[in-house]
Amino acid sequence: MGQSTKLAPADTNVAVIKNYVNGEWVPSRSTRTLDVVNPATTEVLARVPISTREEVEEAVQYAKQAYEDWRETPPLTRARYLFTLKNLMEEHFEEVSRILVQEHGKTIDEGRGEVRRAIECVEHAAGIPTLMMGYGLENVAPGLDEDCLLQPLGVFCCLPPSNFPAMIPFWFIPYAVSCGNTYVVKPSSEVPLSMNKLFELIHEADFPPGVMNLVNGTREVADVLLESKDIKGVSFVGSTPVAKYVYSKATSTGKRAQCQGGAKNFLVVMPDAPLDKIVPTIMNSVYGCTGQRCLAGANVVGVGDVYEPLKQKLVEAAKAIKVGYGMDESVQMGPLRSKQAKEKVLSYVETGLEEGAKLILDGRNLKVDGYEDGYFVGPTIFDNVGPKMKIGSEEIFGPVMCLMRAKDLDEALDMIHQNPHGNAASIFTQNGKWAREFKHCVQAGNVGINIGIAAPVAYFPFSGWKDSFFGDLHGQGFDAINFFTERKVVISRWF
Amino acid sequence: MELKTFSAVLRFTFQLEDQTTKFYQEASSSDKCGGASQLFAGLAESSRKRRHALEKAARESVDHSLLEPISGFFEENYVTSTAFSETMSYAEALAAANGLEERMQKFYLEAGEKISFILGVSRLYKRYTQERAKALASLQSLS
Repeated sequence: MGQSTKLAPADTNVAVIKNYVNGEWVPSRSTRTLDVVNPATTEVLARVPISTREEVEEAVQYAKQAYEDWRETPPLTRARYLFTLKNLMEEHFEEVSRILVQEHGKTIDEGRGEVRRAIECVEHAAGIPTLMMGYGLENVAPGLDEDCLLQPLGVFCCLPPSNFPAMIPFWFIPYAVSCGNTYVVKPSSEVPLSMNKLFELIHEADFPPGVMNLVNGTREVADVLLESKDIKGVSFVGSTPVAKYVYSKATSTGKRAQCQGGAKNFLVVMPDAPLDKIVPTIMNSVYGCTGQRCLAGANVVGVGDVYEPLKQKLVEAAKAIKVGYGMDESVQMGPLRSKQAKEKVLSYVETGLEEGAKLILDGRNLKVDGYEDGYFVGPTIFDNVGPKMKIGSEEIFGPVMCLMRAKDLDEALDMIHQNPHGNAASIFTQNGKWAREFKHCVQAGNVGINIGIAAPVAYFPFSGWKDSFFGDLHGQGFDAINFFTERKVVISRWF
Repeated sequence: MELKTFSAVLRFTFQLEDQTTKFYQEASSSDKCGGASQLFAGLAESSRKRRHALEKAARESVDHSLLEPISGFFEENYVTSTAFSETMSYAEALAAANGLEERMQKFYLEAGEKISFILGVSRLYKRYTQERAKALASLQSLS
């Protein structure tokens, strides 16, 4: 799953993180490990084991055993574990946020904003006694009553990406366990430390052994989970090709699957948009988390006469962004997650030049004082990008803005619809008719109106259309409850 | 120094409130400020409460999807000499307190606009602008 870190030598003194199985921290028996690298300093923070097939299977078996008691635990009791976890997450808020900065490279504000979103999912899932209520009707026929019950299914797992290592697993975990299922998480091997810390809090919250389990590793560990007959469903977030692979593999073994793929999100700026107000929003959309967000704005479409003044203001604002190590509170953008991620972004910049786009802000040669080896790329802007160019159609996953021109809203919508992805799209306007038309017509799952990052809150599903999502039910919201429960309809009559 | 992020603005706010608390605590326990000691003690407590409320609101409101870069906002415009000294007369202490409140009122007003993208905290800054205006009026009534 996006594995790119080199194999570490076995004799290094850096600590190897453990798995968490059946309520205990267990060192992996595997001798194969990978480095976890701070992308700003390039310091090796820890080593992550590539767990063995047997270890993964053991974790699944413990989760399966734990399910029998956990499903019988009253929903309110299950919710109380989440209340405890929420309080522990609040207590360790700053610590988890800082781990995110170290392992991922995001800024401290972004780290805190990510942990907040994770906590909100726990808070929402703690409402499970209400969320999981079924429904019923008396006298569907004379003397016959009918009830629909929501029941858990068993063991679920998630395979989260490297860009939001704390938040994204929480789109699923709290909902799954509050519904009465048990769980196995395989964090991204590039960024396993925040989830490791969160599992320390899960341990402290004293969930019954086996309810929540953590196994570290790479794609081969994911494959064991996907092949397991005892896993009932999988939640995945990552690139489109891997999302397709996971969806196909999971469903071929009869599992439920919700697989979020890549994105190429458009921000449409109409001629009446108040540029001074929207440019900072666009900056966060494109350059926040160094563009490594599946909701990041990538293509900025200037409609009509707004194009030139918009371009000028965007370049001015992007030039002013302070890039550096996210622990420094004055820093507005951190490095890319890994050396490979940086190389990929640089290669897309080359492609853009070959395709004839005009590079009007070049972030390739940025050096950050004190962090010369860090994986930094500065804010970059291409002008005159076409929707069929590679840089205009493929996910770059970095701080690269592609500027496009459209004569009107219809043309902007056409551009969006030519793209295979449909994760998010936003419009900036003060005109209600344009906004309404965009909202109604645009083929994207998360839509922003004067919003740069259309990120649904915990009680709404994180949508996504076309090649950005494979499955039926999304993470968060009622979709999560439906994904993690089975319907049972009971028709009864008494003599 | 330019304050370019939400965190940087908050950190500076805490620094200002800590200085304010210290000033009023010391002034309230000085014999020379007997006439205003109760007011100073109250202002020290308000300052402490504001810091606490801001910390909580910031933690509960921060959202990675709403953050925006900040520009054109500098610490230098709000730094004031707030140290209380035993050599200060009552009138000098009152004048220093007046200066401090004027500066803080300006800070909260302008900072609240700069962080308007995190509305939960920005609203508190607006409220604190009004609180500082009231504090200033109370101080001026003693002059």
